[in-house]
Amino acid sequence: MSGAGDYDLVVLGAGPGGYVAAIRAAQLGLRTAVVERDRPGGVCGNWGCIPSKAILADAALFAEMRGGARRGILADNLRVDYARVIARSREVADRQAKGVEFLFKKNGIAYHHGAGRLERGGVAVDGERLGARFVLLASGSREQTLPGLEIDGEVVLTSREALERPLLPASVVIVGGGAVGVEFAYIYATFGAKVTVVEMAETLLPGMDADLGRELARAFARQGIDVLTGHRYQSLVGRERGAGVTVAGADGSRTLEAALVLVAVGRAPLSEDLGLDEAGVRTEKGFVVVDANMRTSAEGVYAIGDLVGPLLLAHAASAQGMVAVETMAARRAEGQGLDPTRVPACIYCMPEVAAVGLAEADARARGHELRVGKFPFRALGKAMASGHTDGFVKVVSEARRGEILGVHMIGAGVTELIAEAGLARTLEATAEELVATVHAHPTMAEALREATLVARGEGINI
Amino acid sequence: MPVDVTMPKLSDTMEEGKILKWLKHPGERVAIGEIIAEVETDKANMELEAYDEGTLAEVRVREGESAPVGAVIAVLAAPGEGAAPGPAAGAGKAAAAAEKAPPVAKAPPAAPRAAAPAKAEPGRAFRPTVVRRPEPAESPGDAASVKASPLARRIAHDQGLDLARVAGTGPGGRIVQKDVEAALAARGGPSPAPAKPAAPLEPRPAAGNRVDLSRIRRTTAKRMGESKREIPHFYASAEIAMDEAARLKEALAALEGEYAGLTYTHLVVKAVGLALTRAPALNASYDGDAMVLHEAVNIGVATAVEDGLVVPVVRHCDREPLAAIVRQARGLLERARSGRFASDDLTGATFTLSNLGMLPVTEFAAVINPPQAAILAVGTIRETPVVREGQIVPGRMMTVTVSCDHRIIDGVLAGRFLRELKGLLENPLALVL
Repeated sequence: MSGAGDYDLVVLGAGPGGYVAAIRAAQLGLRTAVVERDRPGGVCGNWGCIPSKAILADAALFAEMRGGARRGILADNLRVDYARVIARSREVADRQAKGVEFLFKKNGIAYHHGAGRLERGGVAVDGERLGARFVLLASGSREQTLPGLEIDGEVVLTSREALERPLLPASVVIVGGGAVGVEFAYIYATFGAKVTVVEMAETLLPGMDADLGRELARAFARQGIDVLTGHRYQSLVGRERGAGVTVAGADGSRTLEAALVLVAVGRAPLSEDLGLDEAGVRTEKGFVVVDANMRTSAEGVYAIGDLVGPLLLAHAASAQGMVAVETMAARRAEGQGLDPTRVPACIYCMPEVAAVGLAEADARARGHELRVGKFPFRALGKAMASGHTDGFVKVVSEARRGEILGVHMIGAGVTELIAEAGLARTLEATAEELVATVHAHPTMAEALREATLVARGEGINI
Repeated sequence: MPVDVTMPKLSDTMEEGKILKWLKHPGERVAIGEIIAEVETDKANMELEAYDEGTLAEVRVREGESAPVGAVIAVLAAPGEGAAPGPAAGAGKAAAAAEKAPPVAKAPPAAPRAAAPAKAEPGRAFRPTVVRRPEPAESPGDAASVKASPLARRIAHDQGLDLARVAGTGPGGRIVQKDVEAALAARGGPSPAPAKPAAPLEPRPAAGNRVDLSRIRRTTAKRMGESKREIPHFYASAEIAMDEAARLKEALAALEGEYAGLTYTHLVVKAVGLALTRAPALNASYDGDAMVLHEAVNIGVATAVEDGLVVPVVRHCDREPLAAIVRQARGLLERARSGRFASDDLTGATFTLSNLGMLPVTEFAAVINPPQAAILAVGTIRETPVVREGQIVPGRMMTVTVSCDHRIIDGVLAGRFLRELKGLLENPLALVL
């Protein structure tokens, strides 16, 4: 099997971007092949979203049971078998990978295991040549680290190693207070470790609405997690049975001792070894440059997902995959790409964090006149009844027309609630429609409507 | 389930298309990717490709007849289904109407939108045929029945804009915020649809007879008239020494490979692309009370075809290397010659180039292609005595003239653009570095 006529499309990478794009391509009648060097599912299915959610769910269950006494639910001898927690997480990831392979078979997609590289008129996979009219680059990203924080898998880890490590450390320093950092902070702290999170920015979750990071830091303080914002990692001392991490803030530097150092400082694109330069695919700082329809600078070559940055979200990669494939099949108009202000972002520690659209500061910077409403969960019947009163919903709307510019949530279950806000953005609903929508009582979802009422100066329950 | 085949929208300005020829006939099998018909649009003749397989059950528009964008022009029966769908299989209202009166240009006003996917009859699979593209259908409709987002309605109401006159680009032709904003901009400025270029054209041969204009010619006539009426043009010219560019062209052409077929037009396209990044005001559009600076530098190259002029678009001329521009331009030219453009070959230009250098035209001024702000007219390269360091020597000179929209571009900006362009073509190494 070789030659120009092999496939209409070869997808490099079977993560959430690549596999969804491949299935969509098959639906549209393109003869499609997928090349994956690891196994289907990508970081999301194997080393990210899915396995970490399994562990987070177990942590939340443990926290709930431990807190049961004040609600009249008594249990003795509550203990954690962390090795079993990790084992279950790996089982979930394995099932996920098999599920993707099944979907390839079901949709008649050829699956090639190996490392793919761009070639004129197609892709080379370990010496074999697959001809293709289109190539979709979806090779994803890997964990990054900082100088001096070389990953040894024993004392210094990234999330990749942490997801397989069956031992609970007594103490952890987490470098980086973004999504991955705060999720592992919650996991380790809930299962009993002494956790310190070090973040360079002034709040946790930099890039999101600043109120979210501040509220999360307060909730973490109540859980006994130390949060050092405005602190920069300096150096690492010793790697024998733990290490010292020196950090510097406005008030000078200090050294934090811990059994484990978790590095969560973002992700770097996997753009090496794809033959990008030879094929004329332009990159910037390693990220592939694309237009709104996900075309690269090389004819017939498209790219999506973590490889193009900067969203670095599984669902963004999937949505970009649809854009790319539909453009190839002439089903997508020019310029109708993915609007990043309609892509939700979710974080699964407790309290959960979720947002879609513009942060308040960004909306102001764009010159919008705003009406902002915030509704705390503690004022909501369902939140009190279920014992989850941390957090709030914040609605950022445009003053004159009520456009919902952004919705920012922190609290129990908000990663599910954000879907309603996403639909509101996509349908261009205004504050008026959100308020006119009857929300069931008692639910956590009422908070979105209440926050919108507050933005309009019409709050009922606060 | 039978599948409707609809008239696709193949260019920004296309409102209806004429079936030139059915290549498949009722009863014949159709495979995915097979060409089932040839369609004449306002821009070019294009092929209509099947995106579903099955048997052609029914043809609703005869050869030589036109149908509005979105109208059902044929029905495919799925493999295994009978070729002729009975009434129960869904020959509903649209089909019945079509049988009585074939959908010619006089289709009911709301037809283009009514044919949008969301309104497909229940029980019928709907698949757009070739490409689903924003609908600039200008048909007046009933404001209350218009599909529009709440935000779009709010803005339209504030601004006193009639939504029935706005084309929707959202799912199923729904009017969304950016459609309303585009319509508001168009109220004050030129229509946002890019179209015909400016260069003069060989006269049609028929003398003394009245000859119907081709669709391409009719669009050109309309757009050029609008441009000259609406846009205050001014013109600036520069003489460019092409000796170095000629040497570079010969040297590169001798390399063959990716530079095979390199022309002066390719060099000028690359030079204009770079010059526009240094004089970005010319890579812009006038938009009511704003000036829209385009990030992409996409250059439309006016190209003569049998029945008029088309403007295929070379993309990212600023950042694409010369070899890639040659490759793009070669593909476009081949498709222009065969009259079979891909769906986006003709859209998205931010600046236009009209080169008459292959004819004995020393210089000319072109008409701006709205909503672009400028167009460059390129004359022939001529051998002429020039004075260099006090000596009269033979030189190769080319005169270029840029036409600018004076509402957003002033003379000095045009002059700076010409200075950059001249510098790039006279020291052309930057074009390949």
